[in-house]
Amino acid sequence: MRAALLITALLWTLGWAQERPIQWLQRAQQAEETLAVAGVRVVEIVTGRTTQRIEERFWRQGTRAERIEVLAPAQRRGEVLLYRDGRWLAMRPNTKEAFEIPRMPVQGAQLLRLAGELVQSGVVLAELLPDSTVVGRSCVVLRLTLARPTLKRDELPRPLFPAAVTLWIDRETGLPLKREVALREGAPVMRMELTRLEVNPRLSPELFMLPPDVVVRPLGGVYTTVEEAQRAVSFSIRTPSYLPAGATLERVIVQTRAYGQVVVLHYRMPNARFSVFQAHKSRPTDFEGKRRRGRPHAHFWQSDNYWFGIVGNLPKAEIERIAQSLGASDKNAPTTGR
Amino acid sequence: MRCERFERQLWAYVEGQLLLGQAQALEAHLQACPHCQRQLEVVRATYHALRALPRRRAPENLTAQVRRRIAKTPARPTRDWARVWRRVALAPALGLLAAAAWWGWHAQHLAPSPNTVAADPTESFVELHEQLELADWSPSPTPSYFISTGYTR
Repeated sequence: MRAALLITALLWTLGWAQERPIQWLQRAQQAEETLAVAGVRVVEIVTGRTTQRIEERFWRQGTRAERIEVLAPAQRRGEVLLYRDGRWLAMRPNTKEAFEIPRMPVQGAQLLRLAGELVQSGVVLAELLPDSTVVGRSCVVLRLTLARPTLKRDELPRPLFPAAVTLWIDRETGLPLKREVALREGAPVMRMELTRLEVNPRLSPELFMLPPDVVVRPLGGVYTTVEEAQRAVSFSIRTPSYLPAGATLERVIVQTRAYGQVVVLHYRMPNARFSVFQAHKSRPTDFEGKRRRGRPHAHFWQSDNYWFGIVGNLPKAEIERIAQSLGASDKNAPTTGR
Repeated sequence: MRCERFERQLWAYVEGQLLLGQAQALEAHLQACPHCQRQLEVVRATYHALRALPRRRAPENLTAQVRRRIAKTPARPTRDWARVWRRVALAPALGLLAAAAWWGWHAQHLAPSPNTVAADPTESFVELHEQLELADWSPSPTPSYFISTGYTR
């Protein structure tokens, strides 16, 4: 009898220990979509010489509603992001204005759902690493890697998924408490880690509501169409006459940088993303165009008084075709590379 | 050529061994020369790192010990223990020097000059695209919102 019990316990332990990665992904997705949580998290994006560190308090009611209050960087402290009824609003402190952020999905659950589908289809490999602890809670560590991570010079794009994602999933609740994402091998990295967690807190509905006297306006600097963006730009925005099949304009961003205004047309495809940049230049300059390992394909050229650039994980031939449709020619001395 | 002359004086300057006129000439040059300013930082960092190394005294009876050992093993090749001791003590210092030299070279050759960044937006184009790409995998929309609204500039 004792032996039978022992064997049962052993088999149960082995079965539990060998819970498959896909089951952890499904648990994590379910936890993200349904649980009420609150806490503090730090997000770091490391690209090239730049590291952005964002610290935020959050209150989330599954995928229904979320409130984020920015703690750092200091210049953005006090900004509030609210998600409700399918739209995100941003509110700056001490103002009576909120801004609608165009097309921002609830990204946590989305990544997990996509990861689960790709693991089941064999495109992404999943492995369990030794357990770890985050905010004092025992976590399963799950590493997801693309089965074929490299993008060769003229290869068709791989699925739109990072080359490597590591998730620290809370054993008790299934919530991802930490994640690390690398888009490509040797490429920039994004890290998120919870530094405080409260599961099932009492969340008042007012938490997810705008104060009554706040007016909602479109967000300046981010537009959904070129026509809208054109009103904010001092030069004529050029658009490519050729686009790969399935490419849709996701957003148009207008920023003011040291060299002047820059317009970014950010396109999305089922398997790729690319950005078309244009900026007005005050004097002729040579492109430096340093390329580093793990960078996306890029093509830069100058025409008239403009800098142009196309960057993305498209095949190089496609990028060059888009460039030609924007007026790039050999005499413009384009720089192309990885 | 001017830089070479002043670079040779940097160690003496940091150690306070330059004559007053030489120090003044070097300081005037440093005001206008970012290259020598960086070299001075490297030299200063190395100098302070070397000074911060723990100073160890050799045991009082080291010489007697060494002599006794030599006397005990006449057939084996002898070693100059003092020289060995100096080499051992020198190793971390050389390591620090190499690291400082590498750091100086790195800062000089890999860090972009402000002019390049201002004049050539290609690197910022690539970074901005990568940030937009990466931010989409964030569990929070804040990075994407910050990047779009120009937090990175």
